[in-house]
Amino acid sequence: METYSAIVLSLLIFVPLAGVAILSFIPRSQENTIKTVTLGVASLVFILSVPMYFAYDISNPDMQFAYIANWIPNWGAYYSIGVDGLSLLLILLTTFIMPLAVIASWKSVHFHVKGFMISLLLLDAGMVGVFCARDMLLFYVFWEAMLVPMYLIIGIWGHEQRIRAAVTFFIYTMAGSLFMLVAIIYMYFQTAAVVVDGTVISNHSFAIQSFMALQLPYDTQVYLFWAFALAFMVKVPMFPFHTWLPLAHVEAPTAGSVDLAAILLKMGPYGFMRFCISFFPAVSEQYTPVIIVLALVGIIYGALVAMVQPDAKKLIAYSSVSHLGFVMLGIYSMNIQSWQGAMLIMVGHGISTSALFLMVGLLYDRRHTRLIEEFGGLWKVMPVFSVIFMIVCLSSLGLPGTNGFVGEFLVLIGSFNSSLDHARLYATIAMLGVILGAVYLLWMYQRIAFGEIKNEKNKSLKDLSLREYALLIPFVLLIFWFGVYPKTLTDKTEATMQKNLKSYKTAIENVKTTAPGSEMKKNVNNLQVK
Amino acid sequence: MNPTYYELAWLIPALPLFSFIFTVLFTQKYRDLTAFISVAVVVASFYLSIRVTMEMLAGAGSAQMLNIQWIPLGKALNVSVGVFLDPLSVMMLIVVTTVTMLVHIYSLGYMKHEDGKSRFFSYLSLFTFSMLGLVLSDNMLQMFIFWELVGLCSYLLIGYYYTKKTAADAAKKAFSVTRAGDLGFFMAVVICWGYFGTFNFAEIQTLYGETTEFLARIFPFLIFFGAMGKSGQFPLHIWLPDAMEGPTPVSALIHAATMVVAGIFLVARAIMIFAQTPDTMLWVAYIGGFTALFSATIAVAQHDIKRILAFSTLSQLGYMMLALGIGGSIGLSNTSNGHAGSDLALMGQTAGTFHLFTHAFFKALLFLGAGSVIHAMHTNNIWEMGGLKSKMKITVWTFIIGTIALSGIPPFAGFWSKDEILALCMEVGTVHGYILFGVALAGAFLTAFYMFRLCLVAFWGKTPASAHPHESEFSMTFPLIVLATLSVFAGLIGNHDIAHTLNITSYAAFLNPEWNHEAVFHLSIAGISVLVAGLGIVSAFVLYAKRPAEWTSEAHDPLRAKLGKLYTHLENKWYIDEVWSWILNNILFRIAAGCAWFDRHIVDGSVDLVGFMTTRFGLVLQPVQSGKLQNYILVVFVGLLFVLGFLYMKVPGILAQMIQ
Repeated sequence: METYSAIVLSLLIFVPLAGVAILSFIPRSQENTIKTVTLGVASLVFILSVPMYFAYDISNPDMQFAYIANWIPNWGAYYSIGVDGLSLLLILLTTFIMPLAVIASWKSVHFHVKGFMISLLLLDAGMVGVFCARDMLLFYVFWEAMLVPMYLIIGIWGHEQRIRAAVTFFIYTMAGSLFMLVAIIYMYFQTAAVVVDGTVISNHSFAIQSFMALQLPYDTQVYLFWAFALAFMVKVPMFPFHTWLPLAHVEAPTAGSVDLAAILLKMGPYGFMRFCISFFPAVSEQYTPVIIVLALVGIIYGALVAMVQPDAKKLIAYSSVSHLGFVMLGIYSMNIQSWQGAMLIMVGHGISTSALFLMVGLLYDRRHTRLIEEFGGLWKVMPVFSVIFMIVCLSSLGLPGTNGFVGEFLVLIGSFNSSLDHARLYATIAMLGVILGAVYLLWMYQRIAFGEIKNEKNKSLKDLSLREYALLIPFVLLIFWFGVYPKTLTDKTEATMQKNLKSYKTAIENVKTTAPGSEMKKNVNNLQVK
Repeated sequence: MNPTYYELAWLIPALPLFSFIFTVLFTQKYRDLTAFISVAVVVASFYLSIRVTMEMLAGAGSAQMLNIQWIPLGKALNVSVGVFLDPLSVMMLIVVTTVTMLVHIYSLGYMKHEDGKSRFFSYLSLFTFSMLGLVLSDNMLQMFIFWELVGLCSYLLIGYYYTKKTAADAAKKAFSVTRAGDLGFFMAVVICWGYFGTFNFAEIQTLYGETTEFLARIFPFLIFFGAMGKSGQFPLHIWLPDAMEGPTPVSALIHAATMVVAGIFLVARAIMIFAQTPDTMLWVAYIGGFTALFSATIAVAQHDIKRILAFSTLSQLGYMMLALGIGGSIGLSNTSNGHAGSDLALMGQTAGTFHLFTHAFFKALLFLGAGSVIHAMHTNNIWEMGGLKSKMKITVWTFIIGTIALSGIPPFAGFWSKDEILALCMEVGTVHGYILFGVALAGAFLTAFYMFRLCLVAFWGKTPASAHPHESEFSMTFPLIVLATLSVFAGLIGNHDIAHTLNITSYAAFLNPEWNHEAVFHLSIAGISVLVAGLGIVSAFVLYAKRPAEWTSEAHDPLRAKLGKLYTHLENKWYIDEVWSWILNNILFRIAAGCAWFDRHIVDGSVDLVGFMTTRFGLVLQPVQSGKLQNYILVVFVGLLFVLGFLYMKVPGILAQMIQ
C-alpha cells in the first residue's frame, strides 16, 4: 500500500508517456493496433487511479500520495506531486474521461490516427500533472505542455474552421498564461532559500508552500493576483474572455470537446482555489465583487446566448459558460457549502457536458451536421439514444436526482448565506439562470428527439452500437450516483476545504487587524537568508 | 412481533420505484408483463396505505418513520429524507394510491394496443413513486426534489405521443411554466435555510414568527409562487389545458387528481406558516378566487371535452386555494367574527384539503369517462358526439354522477366540500370573505352550467352517422364504477352530524385530532349554493336540451349568438396564451438574440480587433526588418546619438568624462 501511495501519481503521469513511446514504434498503418494500445494505456491509467478514491484519507486535509524528487535543485525546483481534497476528484475525472475519449474517437478520426492518439495520451499526462503539481515550475510546465496537444487536436483533426479555432484557443490561453509566468517568476525571486542540513541548495524555491509563505506589499499582490486571475479567467472561461470556447468546441473533434469541457475548463476554477485565493487572500477578498459580477453575467448571458444557437455544439458550449459561472460564484462566496457545491458542479459538469458532446458527436458521425434543425423525431429511429440524451439533458439542467442539482443547490445555499455584501442579491440573480437552463436544453431536446421525422436522411439512422452503448452507460451511472448519493463526493473534499477556508479567514482577519493601507513587512527570514 | 404497517410505510413509495427500475431495465420488450408488474405493485401500495390509515384511525399518531442522511456537511447542512406520516399525508396517501390504482387498471384497457405500453406503465410507476415521495415529506427540500420529479413525469407523459408536435410543445410548455413557478419554491428553500437553518415545516413554523427580515417575511409568498405553477393558478395556468395532449388516463391521474393538487398540498402543509402573514394569505385567496371564476368562464365556451374538464380543474383548484387563503387571512393572533385566527386557518386547511379529497375522485371519474367516450368516438369535440346515453350506459351514467358531484348537488361529494368553502367565506366575516363568497357562488353557477352543457351536447341528441360507439371493456368501466361510488359517498365524512350518525371519524376530526372543531354547516348557505347550481343546470337545459341533429360543430353553439363578441374572447381563453407567447418571443428571445449579436460582434469583435491591430502593427514595423545591413547601422547610429543626447541633457559633464 505504501508503495502504491508513493508511486501512483507518477504512474498516472508516466504511463501515458510510456504509451506514447510504445505508439511511436508501431507503424502508422496499423491503425487498429494503435487504437487498441491507446485504449489499453488509458484504461490502465484509470484502473490505477481508482484505488486512490478508496485509499484517500478523508480526515487528512493535507497532501496525500505525495512524492518528491530532485528535478533542478539549483533553482529550487522539485518534482513534487501530491493530491488533496481540491484535486482528488478532478484527477479521477481526468482518468475516467480519457478512455472514453479514446472510444469516442474510434471511428470518427480517419487520418493520422497515430498522431491523434499520441496527442491524447500527452494531453492525459499533462492534465493529471497540472492537478497534482506542488511545485510552481512543474505546474507551469504541465500547464503549457497540455496546450500543445490540445492545439494540435483542434488544428489538425477539427472541422472546417479548425485553424482559426486552434489559433484563437492558443493565443487566448497563451496570452493569459504568460502573465501568470511573469508573476511566478517575480514571486520566485521573493521566496526563501532552500536549506537542507544547513547548506543552502538554492537561493529561492518554486514550492507552492514557499509561495504561500510570501508576505508581499499589498499593491504588488494586486498585480500578481490579476496576473494569475487572468490566466484562470480565460480558462474558466469567464465573461468577457469566453469567446474562444464556442469556437474551439465547435471545431474540435468530439474527443477534443470532451476533454476541453470535462477537464481543461476545470483548471480555471482549480487555479482560483489553489493559487489565487491561497496566495492572495486579501486581494481576493477585495476583488470578490468583480469576480462575482462577472460570474453572474456569465450565468445569465451564457444561458441567453445558448437559447438562440442553431448549432448544438455551440449551444452546449454556451451552457458551459453558464455552468462555470455557478462554479465561480460558489468559489468566491467563500463558505463550505458554496465550495462543496462548486466542486460538485465541476465534476458534474465534467460528466454531463462530456456526455452531451459525445452524443452530439454520435449524431455528427451519422449525419455530418450539428445543426439542430436538421434533426427531429429521432426518438422513433433511435429510442435508446433519445432516452440517454434526455437523461443527460435533465442532469445538465439540474433536475433533482441527477448530479446537476446538488451542486447548484449547494452553491446557491452557500452564496445566499455568504457573509459578502449583497450576497442575497447575487444568489437571487443566479437562480434566474437555473430556469433559463431548462428553457434552452428542453428546447434543443425537443427539436432533436420529438416530433415527426421531417428529414428523409434521418429515417435510416441507426440506434446506438454496442461500442457507443458502452461509451455512454458509465456517464448515466455516474449521473445517478452523484445525484442520489453526493455524500460520497463531498466527504472527500470536506477536510481540505475546511482547512483552506480557515486559513483564508485567518489571513483576512490579520489584514483587518493591521491598519488599513499599511504595507506588510516582507518576511524577515527571507532577508536573512539572502 | 410483527412490524406495524407504519414501519412498512416506506414500501409505499419504494415499491413503485422498484417497479420503475425493474421494468425499464428488464421488461421493456414484454408489454403485458410491464403492465402487470406496475399494476400489481400499485395495488400493494394501495393496500399498505389502507392499513396505515387504519392504524392512524386507531390512534397511532404522527411519526417520522425513516431518516436517511442525504447531504451531510458537518453541522452546517444536514439534509435528510424520510417518510413522514401525519393525517394530512395519510389523507394524500389514500387519494394518490386510490386514484393511481384505478388509473392503472383503466390503462390496461385504454392503452391495450399501444406500442409504447411498456414505456407508459414505466412512466406511471415513476410518477407514483415521485408523488408518494412528495406527500410523505416533512421537509421542504425533500418536497422540492419530488416536486421536480413529478414535474418530469408530467413532462414525459404529456409528451407520450412525441411525434405529435402539439404534444411535444405542450410537454415543453408544461415543464417550463411549472419550472418558472418552481423558481419561487426553490428560492423559498434557499431562503428558508438561510434564515431558519432548517427545512422542517414544523421547525420553520416556530422560527418564522420571530423573524422580521424582509426576505424571510416574503418567503411564504415564494412558496405560493411554486404552488401557483403546479396547481395552475392564474397567470401560470396556461400549461394545464395544453397538457391534455397526453393520454387521457394521465390527464385523470396527474392533471386532475394528484400532481396538480401538489400546490394545494404544499400550502396546506405550511398553513401555520402562511397564516402568520395575512397579506400573503389574501393574495392566495384572491388569486384562487380569480382563477376559480376566470377558468370557469373559459370552460363555458370550449368544445374539446378534455379541455372543458381541464378548465374545470383549474377552477376547482382555485376554490381550494381560495379556501386556504381566506381561512388564513385573519392572522393567527387576531379574531374575527368570534373565531380565533388559528381556528379559521385550520378551517381553511380542512375545507381546502377536503375539496381536494372529493375533487380527486369525481374529477378522475370525469376524465376517465371522457377517455372512454373518446375511445369510442375517436374525437374530442363534443359537437361531434351525441346520443351516447343509450349506447354507453355505464360511461354516461357514471359521468353524470361525476357531473352532479362537481356541480354541487347534495348529497354528492362535491356538494359537501364546496359548501364548506362557501360557509368558511361567510364565517370569516370580513369584507374579503363576502367578496369571495360572491365569486365562489358565481363560479358555482358557471360550473353547473358548463358541465351540463357538456353532458347534454355530448350524450343526448343523435349519434353521428359515421360513428359506432360501444361500451368500453370491463377494465375501463370498473374504475368508473368505483370512482362513481366514491363521488356519491366520499363527501359524507365532511359533515359532522352524518359522520356521527354513521359512527365514523369525520374529516375534520381526522385531519386535526387535537382540534375539537367541526366543519360548519349552514342550511341557508347550502340552500343558496344549491339554488345557484340549479340555475346553472336549468340554463344549460334551456339552451341545449333539444339539440337538433344539425348542430354538428362548434359554430352552432347557441350560446355564441347570446354572448356575441364575449363568446370569442372566452373561446380564445382571454388571450392569455397570446400574451405569454408575445412576452416570450418579443422580450426573452429578443434579449437572447441581442446577447448573441453582442457576443459575436462586440466581444468577439474586439478580440479580433486586437488581433488585427497586432498584425497591422507588425506590418508597420515590417520594413524595419529589411535585411539591409546599412539600414541597421543607420538605426544603431541614430540610436546612439539619441542616447548620447539624453545623457548630455541629464548628466552634465558626462560627455567630457567619456572623451577623456
